[in-house]
Amino acid sequence: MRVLVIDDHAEVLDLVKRTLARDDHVVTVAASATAARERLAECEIDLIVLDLGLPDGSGQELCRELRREGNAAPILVLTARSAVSSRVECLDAGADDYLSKPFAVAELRARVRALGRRSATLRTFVYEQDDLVLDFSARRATVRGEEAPVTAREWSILELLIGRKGRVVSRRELLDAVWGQADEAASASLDVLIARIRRKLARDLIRTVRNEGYAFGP
Amino acid sequence: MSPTVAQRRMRLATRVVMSATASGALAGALAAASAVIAIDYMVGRHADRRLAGAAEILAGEIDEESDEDDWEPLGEIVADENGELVTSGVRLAAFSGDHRIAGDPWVPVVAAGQCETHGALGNRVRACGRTYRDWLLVAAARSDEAALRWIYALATLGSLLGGALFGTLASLRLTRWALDPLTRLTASIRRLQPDAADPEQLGPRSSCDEIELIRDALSDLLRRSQVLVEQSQRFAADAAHELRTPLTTIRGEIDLLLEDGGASSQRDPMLRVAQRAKQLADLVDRLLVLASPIDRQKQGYETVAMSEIIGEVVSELPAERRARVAVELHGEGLTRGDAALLRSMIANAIDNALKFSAAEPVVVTLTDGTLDATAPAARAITIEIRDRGPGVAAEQRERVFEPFFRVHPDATPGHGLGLSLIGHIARAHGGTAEFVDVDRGARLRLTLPAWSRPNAT
Repeated sequence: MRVLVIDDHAEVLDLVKRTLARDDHVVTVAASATAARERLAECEIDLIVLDLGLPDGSGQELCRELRREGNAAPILVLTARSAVSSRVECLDAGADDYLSKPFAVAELRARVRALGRRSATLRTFVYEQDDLVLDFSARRATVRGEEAPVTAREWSILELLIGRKGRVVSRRELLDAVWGQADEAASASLDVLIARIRRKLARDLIRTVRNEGYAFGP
Repeated sequence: MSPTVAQRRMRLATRVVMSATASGALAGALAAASAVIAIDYMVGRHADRRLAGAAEILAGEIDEESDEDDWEPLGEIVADENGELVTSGVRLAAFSGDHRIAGDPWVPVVAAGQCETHGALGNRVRACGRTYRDWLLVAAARSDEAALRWIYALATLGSLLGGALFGTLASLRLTRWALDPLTRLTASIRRLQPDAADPEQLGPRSSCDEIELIRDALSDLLRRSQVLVEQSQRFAADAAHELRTPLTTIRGEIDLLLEDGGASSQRDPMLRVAQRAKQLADLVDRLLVLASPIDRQKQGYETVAMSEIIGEVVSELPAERRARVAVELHGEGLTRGDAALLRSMIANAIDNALKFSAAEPVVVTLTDGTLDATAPAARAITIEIRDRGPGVAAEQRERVFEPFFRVHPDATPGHGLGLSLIGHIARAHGGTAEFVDVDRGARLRLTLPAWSRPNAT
């Protein structure tokens, strides 16, 4: 993947660049919003890693502008601003995920991997079937007009399954995308989460494919 | 309520009652004195009319007697009249010039057509005179000065006591009313959040000048302290921001070095640096959360399952610590909130329990109030973390939630921020954090409001 990293700290820029290079991503860097726009104009970018504090304007503003211009590349926000890391605040600006500084290198790699896999179209996607509405941008699920409580992990599972349009997603892939690991505890949690999604939304929303994984649809 | 406050408020009330008592007594005494003067004047006029009447009757008698041929001597007529008047206390006498012709010896000479008071105090005589032919007729009566003095004294004393008593009783009732604006101001000050003290929260304006002066002074103080709080919060946010960037580099570079493997002799020191960097980052996070204001109207909270968070936190513990934690989940524990903060709250609570209880087990229980149909009012999620450590003494149960407070500063590592962080996050989510009674060890109870539909009534 071609990744653009935008951060005004040269050290962090270098660290992220070397980290992502280990996963064979092609990394381009920019130290300001202006530089970032130049890079974006020069070449096709598959994913953007963006620091919120930039010398020439906020990262959120840049994010919003890119989305307005129709740029659909997934954006991972890095933030050192506040411990109250509001996912919604980043999502509202059009970002796909956030990571607060300082982060573990492994975590950064996992998030970039997961974003690369995810279908970018889901960000503004609203799924409707009978009396079920799944609004992925606002992360609101309604059943027969009433809001149903769906947690972040459950959304991740739904995103992955719906993105595959009914094709089977392996347990391993789900575990890696949702937990970043595939140990025994995570595996047990996956079954619990699938059961909860079915209970909260619809019984036949997710199909179990024996010995393989899960698929969306009855 | 602290005892000093109660004492001070009582004293103010007592002062009001005392001043009301004094003014009541004074008013009573004044009223009694003026009543006595008025009554004395009216009684005096009535007595004068009586005396003048008696002299008039005597003149009439003399007139009658003189019409007859054998008119009695004047002395007899006066003696007769005195005999008739003996019960009324009025005495008559007749004078020719200053010479007494007839009548009682103590009746004094007075100017004709006048009423006068004669004699020393305690033996006073009131007398009214009129002329008849060449004579001066005088009617006199001993005034009951001594008795009257007692009556006057008693009346004044009675009014004084009555006034004082009424003043006391009335003010006892009225003081509460009078001090009500003060009581209300106190209540609204109590409701203020120390870390988000908005002068507008001091409640409605009062119509009392003194209360308004206190209120204005308080608002001013709050505004100034609010500026200081905001400055320190901004400083903490800036400091954290500045610290996090180098921490990112330290942690990231060590991570990369560790991934590369390297010489095994360097591995241990590198792991230590990585661990310390992580601890430093955690400390910065805690400071930052504590420095950020509690924002009740926080938008963008997401749906969070506390059971999931507990499971994750426990699964991320190192194996030997994880083995000591038993988790009992009764329900999913859905709430609305900031997942990162709630995770930090649970992680700190479990970490705290593990730290203070040596090798003993720690039990984490989640009870979903929404599952209990018998108690629909208690729509809360309760999470309890029990340990078998030394516990928290009852008198320290509130103080342990203050930042940097540590029960045993030398015995255990830490900064005294964990519990204040837990309390801060719980409150920010509309929940509570407290230590409850337990036979052995400590029992930290966290409550959070249960998830509800935003448009639910």
